[in-house]
Amino acid sequence: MNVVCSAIHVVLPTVGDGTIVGPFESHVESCVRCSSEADRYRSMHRELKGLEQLLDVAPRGLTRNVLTRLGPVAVADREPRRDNRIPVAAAAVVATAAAGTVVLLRLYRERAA
Amino acid sequence: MERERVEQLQPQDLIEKAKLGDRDAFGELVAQHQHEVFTLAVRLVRDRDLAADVSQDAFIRAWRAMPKFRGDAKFSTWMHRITVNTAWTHRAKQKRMRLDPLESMISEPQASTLDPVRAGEAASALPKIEEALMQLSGSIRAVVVLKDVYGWSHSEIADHLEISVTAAKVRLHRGRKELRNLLDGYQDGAP
Repeated sequence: MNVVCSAIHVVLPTVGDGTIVGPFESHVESCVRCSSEADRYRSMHRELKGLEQLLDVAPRGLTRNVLTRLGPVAVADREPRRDNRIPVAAAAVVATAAAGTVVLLRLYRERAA
Repeated sequence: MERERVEQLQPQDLIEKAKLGDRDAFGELVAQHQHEVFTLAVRLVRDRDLAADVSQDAFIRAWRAMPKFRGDAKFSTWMHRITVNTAWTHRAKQKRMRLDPLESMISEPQASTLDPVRAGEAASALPKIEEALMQLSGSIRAVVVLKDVYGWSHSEIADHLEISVTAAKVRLHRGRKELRNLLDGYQDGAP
């Protein structure tokens, strides 16, 4: 195995699908060892991709178990968000202050009258 | 009757109803996606009982997060992400308990715990590639599965597994190399 072969053997697991392009491409085509190695990675890549369509059957009752464990809808979303609490509190303070001002003004006018 | 009505709905309608809290609609989504979620969980955690727990928890997390599902990605893609996060949470718990079945190397899936379909075929009938995959360590297998089986990007993998992109690339390189050697062993009749 020469230096180029060694380099290709290092690169192939990174490439994954066995496709070597660039300066080493012609070497892979002409070198039996490297083309065989590239074929292995190509085949492995194809088989791994094929696993996506190969499904295990989920245990019976999985759907039922999930449905029995469901809590209320979107529990997290029902809770008031923290960033909403500050504006609400600020609005309450402003409203109270405004109401207080109105009451004080009326009292002042009544006394003045 | 309600069940029949729900099953006739298109996936998008099911999602919209589930977002509004329709349990039947969500149940139908679970029924439709349970096998792929369970399969991914098995590939991540290897142990089928644990994978069943991961699948259930993933669906419950999905239910809670349904109103946040914007539909940018497919529902199945979204479920995959939740499943990976859930599996990793279980993994962290197992590690804390110092009982990590993910790392305890099992030479091959146990036929006794396989579902009826797979058990009927026997473990030896599993594709060699899957058998080899199950021999990789949990952290390396997860990267290979997500990249080469499900086509995730390095950054997605890094993000969900809470590792750096470089670490994801290194694990992928190691995993493919180990897998290639394992498959070579199968050809020679070793394992």
